[in-house]
Amino acid sequence: MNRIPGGASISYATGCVLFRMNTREDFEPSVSAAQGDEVVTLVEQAKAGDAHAFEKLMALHQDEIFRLVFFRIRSRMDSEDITQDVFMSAFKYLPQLKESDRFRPWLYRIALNRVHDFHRKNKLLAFFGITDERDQREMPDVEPHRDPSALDGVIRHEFWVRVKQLSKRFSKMEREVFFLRFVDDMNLREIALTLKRSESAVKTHLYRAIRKFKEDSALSDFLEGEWHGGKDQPS
Amino acid sequence: MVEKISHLDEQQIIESVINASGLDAALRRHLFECSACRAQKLALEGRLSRLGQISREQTTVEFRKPEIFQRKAGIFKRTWEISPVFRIGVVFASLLALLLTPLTLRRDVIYTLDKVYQEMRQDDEFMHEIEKLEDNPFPRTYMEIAAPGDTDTQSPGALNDGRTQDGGPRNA
Repeated sequence: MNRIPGGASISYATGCVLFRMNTREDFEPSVSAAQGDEVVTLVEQAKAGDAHAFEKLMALHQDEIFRLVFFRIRSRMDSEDITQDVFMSAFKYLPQLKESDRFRPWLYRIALNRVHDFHRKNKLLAFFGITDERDQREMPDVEPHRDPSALDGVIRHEFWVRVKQLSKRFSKMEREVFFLRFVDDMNLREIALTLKRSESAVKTHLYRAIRKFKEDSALSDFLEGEWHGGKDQPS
Repeated sequence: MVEKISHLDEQQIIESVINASGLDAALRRHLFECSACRAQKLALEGRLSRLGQISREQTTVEFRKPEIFQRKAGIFKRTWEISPVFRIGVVFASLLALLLTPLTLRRDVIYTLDKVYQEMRQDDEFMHEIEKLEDNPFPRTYMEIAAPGDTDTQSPGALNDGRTQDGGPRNA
C-alpha cells in the first residue's frame, strides 16, 4: 500500500483509493519518528549515567505527566508532588528498563500507579475519618491569575461534573483506556504497553467505553454546543 | 460485479473510530463513498477529540517543575564524588574511635583509682605525723633544754608529774 499526501492511500489489493478518516495513524507512536529516536538515544545515555540526558527526558515529558496526574487528581499541589515522585522513581529504576523505546509507556505506568496509590491513601484516610472523601475536587484548581468569569466558571464546573458522571459509568479498565486514548493522546500500542494488556483487550475496553460515551447524550450535547471556554472563547 | 453493502451500523462506526484499518476493505470503501456514514464517524470523532481538547486545556496550568538533580546534588551526588580511599579511611577512623573509646574510659578509671590510692597513702602519712606530734609535740632539742637527760619529760604528761618546769619539786 502506497501513501499519498492528504491522508489517502492506494491499496494494490483492492485497486482503489482509500481515505483514512482518522487524524493520525492508530498504531503509529504518538511522537514523531525523529522524536522517538531522540528519546531512545536519551534513554540509553541516561541509563549509562548521563544526568544531562535524563534532564532532557524530563523536560520532554514533564508537561504530559503533570497533565495526566492533574486530570485524575485535580489538586495542583498534589499533582506537583506526584510528578516529582514519578521522575524520582523513573531515575531510580531506569537501569531496569530493558527496552528503551518503551520509555513513554513505562513512565505513564509509573504515573498511573502513583495516582492509584494517592486515591487508595485518600480512601484509607477517609475511612478513618482523617480526611473527608468529599474533599476530592470536581474540577481542577484554576490558576490564580486566570480568574475566569462567573459564566466560564459555571460552564467549567458543568464540564467536569459531566466528565465525572461519564467516568462513573466506566469500569476501571474502560476509564483508563478511554482517557489514555483521548485525553493523554496515546495510541493503542502505547496504551497496551502502559496497562500491560494485549492490544485486542485494549480495543475491546475502548469499544465499550466509546459506546457508553456515545450513549451519554448530555455530555455530547454539551461538547457540541455549550462549551465556549478556554481559547475558543470569543473576546 | 459490484458488491452491495448497507450502511455501517453503530458497532462498525465505533470500530472505524478505534482502528479504521481494522475494517473490512469493502466497509472501508463504503465509508469513503457514503457521506452519511462518514458524517456519523466524523461526528463521533469530533466529540471525542473535543473532550480531549477541553480536558487538556483545563489541565494545562503553570506548575512546579520536577527537580531531581538539585536534590541529588545536595544529598547523594557529592557523597558519591568523594574518593573511595577517603571513604574507607573515614570508616576506619570511625571504627577506631569506637573501639578506643572504652579503653580510654578504662584508663581514665585506672588513673583515678591510682590517684585515690595515692591520696589515701598521703592521708595515712599525714595521720601518722599527727600521731607522732600528739606523743611528742616538741622537738628533742627543746625537750633537752627543759629537762636534760630526762627521758620521761618527753611524754606529754611530764608537766603533771609533780615537778616544776625547772625540775624542782612543785611544792618545795
